[in-house]
Amino acid sequence: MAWVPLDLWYDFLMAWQDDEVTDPEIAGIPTDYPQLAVSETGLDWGDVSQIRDKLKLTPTERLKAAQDFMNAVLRIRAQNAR
Amino acid sequence: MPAELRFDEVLRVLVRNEVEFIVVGGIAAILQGSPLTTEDVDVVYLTSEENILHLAKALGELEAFYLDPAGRHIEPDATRLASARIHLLKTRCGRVDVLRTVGKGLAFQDLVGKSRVLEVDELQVRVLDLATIIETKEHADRPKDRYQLLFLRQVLAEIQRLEAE
Repeated sequence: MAWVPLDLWYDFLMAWQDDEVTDPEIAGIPTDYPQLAVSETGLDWGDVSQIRDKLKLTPTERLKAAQDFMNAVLRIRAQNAR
Repeated sequence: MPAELRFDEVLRVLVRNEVEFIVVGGIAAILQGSPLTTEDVDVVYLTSEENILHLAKALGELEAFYLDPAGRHIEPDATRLASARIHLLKTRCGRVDVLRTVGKGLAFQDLVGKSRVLEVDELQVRVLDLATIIETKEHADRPKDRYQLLFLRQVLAEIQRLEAE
């Protein structure tokens, strides 16, 4: 397998534009790396939308979601350790 | 390793035993909207004699024992909870870190005014506010804290944006 330096790989992704693709049904949805505007805190649009989704939940729902997620991770870890 | 993590059960046992505590760290951040994950519950406890007895009873119910590099099975008791500053424990519900202070030596009394009570699973749970969690992470300044700060600052900014609307 060819080894690709991470910075070159990232530059490649950032330079890769799909602006010529015009699909009216997905207008307004970021579909290219330059469109994922970085927030003031250094996160991209995907991260920020994830936070906005969490803020729609109650504290109980947030705790349950985190607990369920970690338990799924632990089950997968245990299966892989067998 | 327990069969499954039960963050909710840890909080329930502490509340049922009338322990005076403040949830800090990852779970406190999650309860306030952080998308990051954690495997343990971190709490700061009031170091009064009565509260330490309540805490020791709660930790007994949780079948807690110290995370010991030598692998010994040592349980936290009232004497240990009254003396040592940090208790990293394994319980039947997962890891629980029981702390006397966080950040710049901030104890329960220092943190209570920087906390808020949230309803979690029909329990009233005192949780360190996000701005103070951020301060403790800035103080710790480990690489993992710097990574988490990216998210915590954004969560705080989003909450402030929602409150302003």
